[in-house]
Amino acid sequence: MVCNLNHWQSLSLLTRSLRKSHLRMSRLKLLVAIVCLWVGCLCHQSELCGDEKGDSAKFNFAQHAKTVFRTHCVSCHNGNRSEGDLNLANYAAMMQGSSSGDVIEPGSPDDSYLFQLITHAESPEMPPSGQKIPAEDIEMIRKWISDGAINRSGSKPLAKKKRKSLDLNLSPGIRPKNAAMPVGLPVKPNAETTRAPIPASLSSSPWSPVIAMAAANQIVLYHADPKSKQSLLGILPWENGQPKVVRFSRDGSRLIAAGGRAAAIGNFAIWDVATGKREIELGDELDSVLTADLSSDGTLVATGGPERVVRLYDLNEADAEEPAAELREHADWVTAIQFSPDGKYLVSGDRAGGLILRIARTGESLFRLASHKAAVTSISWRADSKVFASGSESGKVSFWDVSNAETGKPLKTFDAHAGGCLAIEFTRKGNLLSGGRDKMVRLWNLKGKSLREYKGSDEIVTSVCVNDETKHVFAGTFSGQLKTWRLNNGQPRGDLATNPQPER
Amino acid sequence: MNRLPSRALFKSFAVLTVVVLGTLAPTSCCGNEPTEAETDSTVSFVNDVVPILSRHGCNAGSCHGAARGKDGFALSLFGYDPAGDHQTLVREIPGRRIDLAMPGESLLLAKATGSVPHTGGKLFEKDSDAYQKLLHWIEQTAKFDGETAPQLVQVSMTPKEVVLEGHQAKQPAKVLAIYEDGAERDVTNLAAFSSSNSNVASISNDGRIVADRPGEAFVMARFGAHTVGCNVIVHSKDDGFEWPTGIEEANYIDVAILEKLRKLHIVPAPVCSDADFIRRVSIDLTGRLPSRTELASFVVDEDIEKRAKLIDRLLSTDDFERLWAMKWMDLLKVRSINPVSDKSIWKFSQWLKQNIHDGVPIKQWLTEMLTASGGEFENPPATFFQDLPDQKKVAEDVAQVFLGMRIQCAQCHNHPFDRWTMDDYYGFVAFFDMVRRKRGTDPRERIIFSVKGKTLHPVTKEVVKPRFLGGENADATSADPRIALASWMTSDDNPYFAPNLANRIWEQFFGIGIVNEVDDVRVSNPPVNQVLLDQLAERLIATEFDFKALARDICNSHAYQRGTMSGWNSVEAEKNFGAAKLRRIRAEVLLDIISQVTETTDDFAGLPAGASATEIPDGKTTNHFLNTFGKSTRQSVCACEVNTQPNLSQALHLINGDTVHNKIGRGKVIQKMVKSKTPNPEIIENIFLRCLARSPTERELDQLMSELKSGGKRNQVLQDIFWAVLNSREFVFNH
Repeated sequence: MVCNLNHWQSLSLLTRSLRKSHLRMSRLKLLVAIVCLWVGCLCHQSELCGDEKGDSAKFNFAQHAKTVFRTHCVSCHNGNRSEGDLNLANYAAMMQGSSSGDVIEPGSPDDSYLFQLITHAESPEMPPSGQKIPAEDIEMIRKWISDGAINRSGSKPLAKKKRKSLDLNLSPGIRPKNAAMPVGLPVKPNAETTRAPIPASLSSSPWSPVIAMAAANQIVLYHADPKSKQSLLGILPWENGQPKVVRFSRDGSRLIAAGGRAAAIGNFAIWDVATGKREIELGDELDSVLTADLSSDGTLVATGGPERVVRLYDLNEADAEEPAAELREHADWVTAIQFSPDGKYLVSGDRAGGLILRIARTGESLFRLASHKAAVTSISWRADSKVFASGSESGKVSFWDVSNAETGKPLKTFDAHAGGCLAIEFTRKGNLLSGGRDKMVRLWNLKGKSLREYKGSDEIVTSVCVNDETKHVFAGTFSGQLKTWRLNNGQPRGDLATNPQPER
Repeated sequence: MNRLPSRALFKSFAVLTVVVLGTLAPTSCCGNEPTEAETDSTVSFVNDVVPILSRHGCNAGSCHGAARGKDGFALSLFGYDPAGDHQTLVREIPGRRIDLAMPGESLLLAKATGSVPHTGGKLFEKDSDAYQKLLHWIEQTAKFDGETAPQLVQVSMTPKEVVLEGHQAKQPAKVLAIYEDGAERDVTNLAAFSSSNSNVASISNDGRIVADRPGEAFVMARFGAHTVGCNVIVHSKDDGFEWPTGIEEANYIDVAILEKLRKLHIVPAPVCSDADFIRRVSIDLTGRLPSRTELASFVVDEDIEKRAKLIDRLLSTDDFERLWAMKWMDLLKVRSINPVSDKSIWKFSQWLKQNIHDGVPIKQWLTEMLTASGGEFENPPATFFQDLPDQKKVAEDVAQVFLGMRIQCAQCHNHPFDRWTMDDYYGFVAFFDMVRRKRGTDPRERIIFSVKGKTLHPVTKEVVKPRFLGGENADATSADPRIALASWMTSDDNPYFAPNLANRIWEQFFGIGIVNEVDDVRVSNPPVNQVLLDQLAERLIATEFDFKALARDICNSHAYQRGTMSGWNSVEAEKNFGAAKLRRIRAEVLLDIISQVTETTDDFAGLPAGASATEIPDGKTTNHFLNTFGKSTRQSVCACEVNTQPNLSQALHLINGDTVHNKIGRGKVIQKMVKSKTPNPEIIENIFLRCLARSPTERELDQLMSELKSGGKRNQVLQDIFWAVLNSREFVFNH
């Protein structure tokens, strides 16, 4: 009975009655009683007395979205005529999706195909006449999807699809007992340049404070703490043309670099990091190698370049000179390639945006991953081999869940750099570092949210790497600079020379 | 006296030493810094590098100027987009095509000098000017100077025209580039040269014109987005040509033509006979043959003005209107095809015919048509927009029909042989981009209307404002940009409309345009006689586009009235209107004159019985004869739709097909004459006169009479003679 009244009225009734009563209650008991009464009223109120003071009404299909669809969409998307197999006339049919799959991702408008099309973020733009539907309607759809894309007011939101846990599992990638560090390497410059060269590629040792830079006719090794006493740790000469890519092995003991002379010759070499000895030199390709990687167990090398071929070299084979496999699925230059840390997979990307997940041992193609509309510039695997990322000249970065690869669809795609993303790398913690044509370097989480920006580059950023030992970020730029920042706060830490001329 | 050198002497000696040592010392210390001379000459990307690429064919359509380039390296066609080219060369793949740190390693240079495999071959040597300029540009950090470099505003070629005597006669040409800051630059060694007819004259890479055989050629130089040319006429050396006296000029048309013929050393054919003239002009103006009485009275008439008067008479007939309405309907693609209904087409054709009949000025009905909106039944000219599903197609068709230009190429890249850029193309499309169609309540009717919106450039994604071809942006305030377009189109200042119309009208009388093909106006396809074309255009403008007036001028000229010519230079003579071209009569007219001489009629769908083929409004309506003889299907606006090329099917149809045979039988012309006891020679003469506008020659008459005497039924043989005449080339051709 009390709950049918306004709670102020009930309280004043109670206090009046208490005053009037001659009952002696302890203050505490009185307080408790009053509080319980309040809580009880409030709880009931929201259920029985309507929503006027409760949460604002959620957008729903029946009252909101349906009108928008009926006005703008249903002439082509209805039960009798379903362009793209999509029927927007009623809720159940809409949730069935279209021939392109689900069109609504409850809770996430930006990931909903329907929303992408009506905002013209993707094609085919809807409606097909070229004009967007009125902005209020787009906003209404956005809110409706955000609120869970429910059917009627009071419907429960659809349960989000359960995904396998993508929490980073840090146990793979165990620190080696003696993480390799270059000692006593020669520092004789091998390059004559008219101006500072662009660092074509940067790589950081996963376990030691050392980074490698491919530029001009050499691989330069720097200490990953830019203020350390001995900054320049070694210069490895590259004889044939230019090195285009450099990578440390996953245990940090080896360094692989590949490159060559454009339209003439391509090859790769592997050094022992600690001693600087060049152990292997292989490959006789017809054009410069543009991208390469060494598998975690050190037995396989994969290369890609303008011949549109992915080559696998098996270093265990007696005649490792000949590639063990030449894989020709790519229709354009192979511009990015990386083995998964656990050695199971190989991902290769090409200049047309094609991306292929393969079995590492044989290179056999498993799935074609469709996301990028422009060249894939860079691929990076997270340390636990569950997730990998690809960056593209479209400016977008996509995250991929390996266990979900057969759908061919990414986990998440987001805009990273206007004009093009040129380089990406995962940090040990599972965040992604990226650099691009907007002259910025950024750090992202798996949701595609920018965590930090590293500012100060005067030109487009062509290569990035992160050293998790010293917690520094490095980036090579088009103007021939190698810039450094602190990883955790973005503080600039100066530049390193891209063509060091050490004093004798 | 033995003295030490004075201080002054010592000083000057020291100075001298320093000076001498200074000049002998090396000019640079590190070997990489440019010398003083080099820093002075900064290489411009826009004005040096891009022309080098054009000159060596790098950005030609067959190489990296193709839409997708070659192996992913795409330059803009002929360098129309320097900013994009710079981006492609320097930044698309940092460090590969251009290596700023080690310029000599740049792939651009390696490929061009053939030091690495290059499908395009070796283009220049390392010690060439081109190589050095490119290398210096890279050494100077490969800057883009699009903002600061002086813009190219004009290119001129000298000489503009030349007459060369004799095989291998030479003439050096010079190409001058003029920039917005007034600077002039000799770019003869950077221009790309070509000749329209290398049998007559060719032009070398260094701009030397070399004559070969007698004739005419147009040699061109392309630099930047400009193409300029030089008219070359080649004569044989000492051909002993003398321009005969007494060649008359009937009007301004003859003046222009004779001047050109004189330059070409071609004597025009004499004017044709009266009989030939009346047949020719009757076919061209009315689509009919002269009757025997008309023919006879014309030939004997002694009036000096008789040809002019005949022309006036024919111009005022209904037949003239009908014939010319048909020609317009060909151009405007008047044909019913899904979704254009028969009724809409009928109404459209009637509207057109009415306008021509009422003498409504072209400007007016053209404006109505271009700006038409509403349902087709109430507003027939709206049917013009009906068939075309794509606004780009509308724009292309309008440009082709009314301006004589094929701008289609510029949809995807700048026009390779003309000045039109993608910007021009989309600026023109923008006039039509807002036209939409929807179904009316009557399912056969569609409604044309305009919506609000913007055209986006497909590459830059920027809004493109409607822009007149070769002109400025249209006034954007009017709701429907088509109104501005129609007014520009029909304005006296429009440099393309009047010449195009004049050219098309001209072609109807000569079988060949002053610009040929008539819908291929472009810089690299110049008119054979610019003066003539200009004057015809002026005449049209002066008479408010009265095409009757122009037709009158043309028919009255001696040029139109000339006979045919044979001989080694007859093609050149015909091209320059010094002799008449034999023209196969077009399908509809041919069917009509066959019907006329056989005194029969035809039935066509949707028309009353006895209608002539030239009245057919709907492009879809046809029959076997018309198809065989190349009637336009009106599926495109190409001038080639009306096909007058002779072929075997046509000959076979005339011989074996039922048209001629049946019509002779049905019309009973022979039977009637036999019945009225006309003697054979007269019958034969009758046939010749009605079909060929002449009497049979003695030899012909003898041969035919002997055929009659040699047996066979008289009726049959006479019908065979009739059939034979109808099969003759003399009948089927206009001569």
